[in-house]
Amino acid sequence: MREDRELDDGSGPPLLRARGIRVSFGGVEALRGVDFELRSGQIHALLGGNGAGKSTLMNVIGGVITRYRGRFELDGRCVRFGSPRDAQRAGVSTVYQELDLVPGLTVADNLVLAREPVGRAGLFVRSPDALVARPLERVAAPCSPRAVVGGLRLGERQLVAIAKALYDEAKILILDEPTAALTSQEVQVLFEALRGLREQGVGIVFISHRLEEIPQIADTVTVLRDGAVVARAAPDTPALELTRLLTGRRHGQLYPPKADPSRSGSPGRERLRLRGFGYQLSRPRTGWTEPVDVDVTVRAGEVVGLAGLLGAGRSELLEALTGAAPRGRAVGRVEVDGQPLRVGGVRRAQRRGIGYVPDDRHRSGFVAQASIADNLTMACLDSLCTAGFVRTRKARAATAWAFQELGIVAASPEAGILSLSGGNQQKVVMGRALLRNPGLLLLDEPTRGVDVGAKADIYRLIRRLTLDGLAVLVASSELPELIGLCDRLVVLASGRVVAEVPASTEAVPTILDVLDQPMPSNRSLKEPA
Amino acid sequence: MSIPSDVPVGAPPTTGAPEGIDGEAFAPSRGRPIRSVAARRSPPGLVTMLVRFQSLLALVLVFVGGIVFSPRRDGQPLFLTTENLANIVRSVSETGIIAVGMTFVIIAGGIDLSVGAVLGLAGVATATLLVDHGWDGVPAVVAVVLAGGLFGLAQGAVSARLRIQAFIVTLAGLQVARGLARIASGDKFINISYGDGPHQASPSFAHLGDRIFGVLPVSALVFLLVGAAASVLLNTTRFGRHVFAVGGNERAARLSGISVQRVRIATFGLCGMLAATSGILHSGQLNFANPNDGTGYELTAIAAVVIGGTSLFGGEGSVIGTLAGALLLGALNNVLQLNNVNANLQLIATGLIIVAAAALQTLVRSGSET
Amino acid sequence: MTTHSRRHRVLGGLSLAGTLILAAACSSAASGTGTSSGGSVAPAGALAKRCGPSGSYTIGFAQANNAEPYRQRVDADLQAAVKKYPNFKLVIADGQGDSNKQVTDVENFLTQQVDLLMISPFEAQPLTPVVSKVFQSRIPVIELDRQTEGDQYTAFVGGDNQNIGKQAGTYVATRLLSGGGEVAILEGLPSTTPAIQRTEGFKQGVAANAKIKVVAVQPADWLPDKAQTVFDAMLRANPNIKVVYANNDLMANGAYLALKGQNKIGQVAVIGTDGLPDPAGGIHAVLNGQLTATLVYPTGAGEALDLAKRILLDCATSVGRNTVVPTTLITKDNAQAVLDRVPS
Repeated sequence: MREDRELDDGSGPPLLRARGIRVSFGGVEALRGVDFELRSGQIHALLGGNGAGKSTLMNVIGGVITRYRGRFELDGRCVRFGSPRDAQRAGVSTVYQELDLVPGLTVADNLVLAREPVGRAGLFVRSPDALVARPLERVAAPCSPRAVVGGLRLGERQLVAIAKALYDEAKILILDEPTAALTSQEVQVLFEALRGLREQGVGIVFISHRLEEIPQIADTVTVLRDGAVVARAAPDTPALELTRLLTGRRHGQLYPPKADPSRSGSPGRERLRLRGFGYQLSRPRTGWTEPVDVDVTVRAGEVVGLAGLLGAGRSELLEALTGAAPRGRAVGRVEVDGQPLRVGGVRRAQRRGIGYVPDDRHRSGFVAQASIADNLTMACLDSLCTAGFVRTRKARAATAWAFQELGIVAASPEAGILSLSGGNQQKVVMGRALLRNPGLLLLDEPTRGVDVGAKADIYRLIRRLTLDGLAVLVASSELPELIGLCDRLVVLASGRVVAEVPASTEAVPTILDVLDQPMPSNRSLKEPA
Repeated sequence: MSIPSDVPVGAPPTTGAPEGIDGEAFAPSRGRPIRSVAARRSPPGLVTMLVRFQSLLALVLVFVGGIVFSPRRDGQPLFLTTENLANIVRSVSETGIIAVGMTFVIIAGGIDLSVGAVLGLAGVATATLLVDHGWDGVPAVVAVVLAGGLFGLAQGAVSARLRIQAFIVTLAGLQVARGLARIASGDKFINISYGDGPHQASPSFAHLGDRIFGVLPVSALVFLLVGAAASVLLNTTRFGRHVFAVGGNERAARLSGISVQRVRIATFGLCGMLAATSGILHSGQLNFANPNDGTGYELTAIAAVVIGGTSLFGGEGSVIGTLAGALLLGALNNVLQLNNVNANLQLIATGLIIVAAAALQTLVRSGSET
Repeated sequence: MTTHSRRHRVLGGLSLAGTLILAAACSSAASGTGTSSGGSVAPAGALAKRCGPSGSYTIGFAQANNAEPYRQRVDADLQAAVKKYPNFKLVIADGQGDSNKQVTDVENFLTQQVDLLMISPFEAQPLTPVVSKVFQSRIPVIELDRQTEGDQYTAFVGGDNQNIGKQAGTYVATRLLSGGGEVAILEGLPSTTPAIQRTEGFKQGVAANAKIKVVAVQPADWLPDKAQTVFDAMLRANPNIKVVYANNDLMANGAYLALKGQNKIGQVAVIGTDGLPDPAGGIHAVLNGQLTATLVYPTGAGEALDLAKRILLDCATSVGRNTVVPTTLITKDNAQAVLDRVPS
């Protein structure tokens, strides 16, 4: 069979070969001529920072993006997919980070969704259980086909999603950050399943942010940066070297110079001081890591980074401080400018000079239907109004100020915000927070889905604002970004501070070392050690 | 708003300075701009304009059609007679006023199904106050409008605080209002006759049935005034901006410091007030109150709102569009009736227009995103 | 791209459909409106502005609500009867059970300057001003079935609800339950005139027999399903009910279904009102044995058009102001005979 031939013959035609793939979105080149090869029985890690083009390449392979230039070969034959369904029929299945499973259906029903076995009368004639046994077996999923997906743990769901992809006899599996939300134990189970699939000759594209996973699972590594392949590396390449590859030589150009402690003399006064801070939700949610016993200080003129894996509680800490978190109870001490702050209320936090820029601008940042100007002035209308009426002149001046200060590029302030690039959208959301003149700025993933140019703008803006005494606390999943931007890093795991290090490349091994520690699940961590 | 006192204030920027704004309102420029971009205004695209004014355009089309196809007397199209035009505005004034309130609720991401029943309740309440309790016109009107507002606020509060969908809360509100109306009326019609005697209403109330200069019915005038005031409220006030923000992205609005619940509740209060206003006009025009009146008005109002280009998903829409949508429905029915078109065909025509308006929106929205 | 153009096509199709409707509407308009022609200026004292045997005339009928079976029957009877008068063109507007809408309909007839207005006002008071306005502009007004307030109309044609209720009551008091017993009433929508009058009349009728006791009166809003529920409960609360009187046949049917559900068919007599000759109407129900009796509520279509003829064609200077169309008690004995007399 095909599997045997390709397993034996490593030099035969690759399972998948992409040549010179180019994709551009409205003038911005997301991929500039990418070559990529995947062999049968290979786990190929695809690395890259935000905006490097990982998702774009994944979407091209998976048939989501159909407008691209370049050449695609599958088993040596040239193909061009018109839709994800096309790709699936050809044996290419993608498992997205947001698993496309219906929580209310059983495992078996999810696997056969939209391909339900039906008889001539159009009614169910066969139970799907028998049909799904093999794909579930292939990933060694430890759950019954009768189990309802909503009741499964995240790791089990991930396996079910992969089994679903395999249901169509996929030859190529694209996994988008499959480990991002898993506990280390679950990660090991997943890896076991992936190794099994490798034995069966499946080619796997493995996308991850977790550099420490690469040597464990990958056979080869491709590093993307700014839409181009910058390296093909062996899986045992040191994490430090991978970090350098991911950041690239642009390091110096991308990030502004840091605060010079020798020049500014005494450190700025404390803007934010957390002592033993914790936040417990009234109704705990899975996937929301509660901050526990956090000590953090942010001074005027300082940029402090929150590092940690997904689920470490970075965003949750910012949400709790700014009042964006779900209802809950705060413990410990929070001081803003030396005065205690009662946490839990956006307006209260705003009045104390706290500005907040959420991570997901589509979900929490902007109003998609509104204009750029309306989005900018949304939070500072009080100061633009007389007796409840918005003063057009004031609003226009505020908008103009934000355009200039943040370097927003747009056809007009009245244009819809969706007409902007991701970077400019992000600037608008930041501009809204800045128009309130905050003393402390909390940034969550400030450059997610932002092109390199806008990234540099945002980094420089942040640094420039600190010169005037702003204190910034920034959470990011990108270690290189944190190292380039921040003065100091606070490393979180399971909601707790596990390390505090200066933000420098030398600290990377320390951080990775801390993060590589096998981590118990969130639940068990809350029990006394 | 308290500003940390020690924020160093940079030199005023050279261009695009926020002059004329309270200096503390937002951060003054710090250092050199990264890239200077003039915040200039350019005209929105043709397609955007088409959608924004789709109902106005359609209204113009129906008007032209009305003139062309109108039966004529002495060479004059009947459609264009002052009296007929005034009749059109009057015929849509009640549902139109309701639709204006509904516009706010829908833009804020809600829906209000209780408006028709509130109209019935307000009509009965007005008649009872005037006839049985001998109230004067003005206090009765004020009291009923406020009570309608309270009813709306209560529905909004229940929806917001108990986290129940507006659809369900106002569905319940519909039943409650209808029940209250029937109780208040004692399951009877209430005739309003005017005079000073017992069980006669204050003659001041009779003016609601008048025609100004013998032409423009009072209810039509109220409709146009309410529309104008609501348009100003929606477009030029902080409340209006908040309504758009809350409906467009509730989470973003909350994180911007907008009290989402308060804004939502206020839209329901406004809608209740306008429904009550409509009920007062209803009883004033008809000199009569029937607890069952207003049945189905909520759907006519929603139709006008949708034709006017307001999205049922919230976050976008306009009062002007709603006014045009309401007038369009009235004008269309008028043209068809003047031509003695079968009444059932009129219903079908209305249905097609609703779908066409919604389809046009979807078309343009998908066009602007790709 | 493909979805895009498909949407275009859908939209195109919709607007095309809309255009077609408008075009159809307008072509019918071209042939249909402004047809009032001929005739001569009326002689002094005539009720109509324009009358005479040679003219052609438009009669506008403002119907209260086309959705009710009885009113559909009125429309059908009028349309059948108008065929006898080639000079008349009948236009029906549907008030959709909403006084506001009906006022608009009448205003539009006024704008069109119909030659005669017929109207079944949905509610009396709300329609009074606009009907008066029509009447004062010297357009004759014939009110059908329901009246407006005051005297600003030419003539009224209709049944007498109170009398119909009373006849039903008398039938129960003297024939069905002369020995006495318990009686229940299913009312129409509360606060509607026919419901009030029919119930009132029925109570007067049964009062003639002191041994009859009305044990339950509940509204069922003219609706059969509601009547079934309501009567089911009534029957359980008062198992000795011997007769149920319903304000219309639809509710009587509901009562019959409730009896069927409790296996009590034949033990309780069901009396309805309206007596429509349609297959789903009360007369057939009497023939089938579902109803014991029903009282015809006449449409008065023939009588109304006869009045129109005298006003428009004969240039009458006065017509009878009140034409009460008599009711008929339908029982098994005469049901078939009545049906046979209905013009198909």
